[in-house]
Amino acid sequence: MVEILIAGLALGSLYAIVALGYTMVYGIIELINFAHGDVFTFGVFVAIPVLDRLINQSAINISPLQSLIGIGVAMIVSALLCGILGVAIERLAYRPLRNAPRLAPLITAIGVSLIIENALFQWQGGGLIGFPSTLNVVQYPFLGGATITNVQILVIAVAVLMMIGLDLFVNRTNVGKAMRAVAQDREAAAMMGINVDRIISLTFLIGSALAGAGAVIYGIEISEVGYDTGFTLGLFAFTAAVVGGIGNIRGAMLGGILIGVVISWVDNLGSGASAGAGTEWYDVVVFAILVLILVFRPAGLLGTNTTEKV
Amino acid sequence: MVTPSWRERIDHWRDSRALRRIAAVVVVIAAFLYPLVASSGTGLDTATVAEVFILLALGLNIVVGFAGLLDLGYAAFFAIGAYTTALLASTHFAIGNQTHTSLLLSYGPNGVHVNFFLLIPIAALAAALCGILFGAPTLRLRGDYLAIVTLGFGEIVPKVIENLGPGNSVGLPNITNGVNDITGIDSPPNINLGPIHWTFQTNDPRPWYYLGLIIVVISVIIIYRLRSSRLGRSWVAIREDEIAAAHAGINITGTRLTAFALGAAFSGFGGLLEASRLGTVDYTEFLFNFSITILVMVILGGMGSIPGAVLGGIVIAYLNQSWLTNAAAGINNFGGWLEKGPGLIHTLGVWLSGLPLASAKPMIFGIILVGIMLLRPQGLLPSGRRARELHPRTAGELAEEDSELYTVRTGEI
Repeated sequence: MVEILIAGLALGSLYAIVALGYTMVYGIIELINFAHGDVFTFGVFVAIPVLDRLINQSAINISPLQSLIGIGVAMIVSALLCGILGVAIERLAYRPLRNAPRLAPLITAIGVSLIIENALFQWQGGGLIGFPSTLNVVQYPFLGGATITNVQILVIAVAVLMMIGLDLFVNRTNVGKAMRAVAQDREAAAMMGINVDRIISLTFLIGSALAGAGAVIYGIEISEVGYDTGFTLGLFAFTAAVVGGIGNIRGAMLGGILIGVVISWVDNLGSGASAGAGTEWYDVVVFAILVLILVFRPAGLLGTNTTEKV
Repeated sequence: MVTPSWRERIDHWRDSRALRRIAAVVVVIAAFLYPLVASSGTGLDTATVAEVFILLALGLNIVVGFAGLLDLGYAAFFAIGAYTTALLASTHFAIGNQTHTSLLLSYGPNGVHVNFFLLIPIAALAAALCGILFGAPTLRLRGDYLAIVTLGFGEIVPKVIENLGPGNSVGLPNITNGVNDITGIDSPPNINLGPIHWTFQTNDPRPWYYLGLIIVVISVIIIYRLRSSRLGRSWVAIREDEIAAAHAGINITGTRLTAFALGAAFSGFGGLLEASRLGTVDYTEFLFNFSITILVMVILGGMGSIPGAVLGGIVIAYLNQSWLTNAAAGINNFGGWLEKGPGLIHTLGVWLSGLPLASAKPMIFGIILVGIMLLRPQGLLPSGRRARELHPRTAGELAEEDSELYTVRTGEI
């Protein structure tokens, strides 16, 4: 049970990081950025050659220093490139439609997602690609006879650091205040002298960069990736954002971890004649949760009810 | 009196109702005559696929175009139509060991076989019921939440079909045959009406084509009538301004639900036609990318436009079945020819001959979606009303309208 919880926490941290990108963009321009999951996959793909260069793949034991430098550099490179991609998408595809009817940017977002996903397919092919090994996996004893690996500790620690950093940034800095202002009322924010376009670009930059950095730890944790990984992951992460209350950063963290734990729990259900039932049905369970939350508590767990702006 | 510009004349001419009727009649006659000139075989097969696509585009157009609800799981309703057909008209469900036969239904060890013409309402009803079942709790959500919920629904349906096969892990009997597909689906009964003799066989596409054409024509007429009905006008009213519509006494959720259910019903027709023509159903045909393919048809033709949905269905069907493959081969060959050239031309040739166009279909669809939304949001054959909604007027156009108002008021016209 404790092991399922740990695995769920590690998985949920990944969902939470991706959910942050959805929730930030939705909070500020009320758009479901379908391309976000594919930006994430792009992040995993660009991290692979970086790690191949920095970490000696043939070594049996990778020195901790090498692991640390390798992972750090890969995260920075991936975050940077994903951030640029995110800003470019916003600039080229979403900004021209900012005053169009709501359906238009949403359809564009699906189109962008298809384009990126197929570009990734052309680049890396249709199969699953192994992620380079980055560190020696060590197991530590944990509560109740369960074990926790250093990878899981790393994943959870990085995710928690990112979330705390983002939370401080949004709530304590002037730029963060500007972001909240734009999210609350774009026109009023503009009248207060906030450069709305720049703040929206910045939101895409931060959301995508977080996904890029998260992509590296995804690779380390899951160890393989396909061109369409980001699609399902993005759906689950979006569900997490909705569960927590879309537009709410702390909600995204909570939702991500909840979804991670639920998936890890359901995945292990079923034994004997019904072995594997959990693995077959967990995505149905996640979407059922999405529908139930939207029906009974559309504002999410931490969100406040808002009426649609007229 | 100002003489109208050419542009205005063309617009006026295009908008005239008589001309539209004539165009529609010409298109229908041409469609009925098409098998006489088409190379029998692949050409007509593609046209039959196009008919199914048109039905799907027409149905989704009700949801996305008329009611303004983005449905990203529409293929699920198509799947329900197809699987309803597969379960009720194939050898899949063996019941007892004695065959009972009647005019409309037979069942026994050789499976359940419901008459094709009885299946038409059943398939539509099954899809519509699923639309209601699923839409009822979610349709009061705002539009973009609905998009993601429908997407989730579109993921769940094929997954459920996959998981309810033989020896499934939840201990249910074999319902959907899971990954093994359902085969041996009945063809429609032979039709002998005066000069018409249709035998539905796999080697002759003509009866299938005509059957599909009749269903399409009837559907188009129904949808035209529906659009100008009280219900159709309510859909448009909600799409354009939900709050104003609610104040005008329209029941928002109920009206949306009818759009959802009726849209689903048309994909039920499509599913029926497709399942009985192919004789087999495979749940992997109904995944997210197919929902998006249908969306591309609607967007390409023009949201809310019935001729647009027809055109979108035809274009995407041909793109899917033949154009893309032919174009890819053509471009690759052209690249091979360029390779013989010097320097840069050679490099260009190498690039073109290796261009993986055939696998780039999702990218092409993505480019269509983004391109249409950015450059021509009203689509290729726009509905006038939707075009004005999607293309906000520029300051210049507004000023022009103001001056027209002014001239009207001062009586200079």
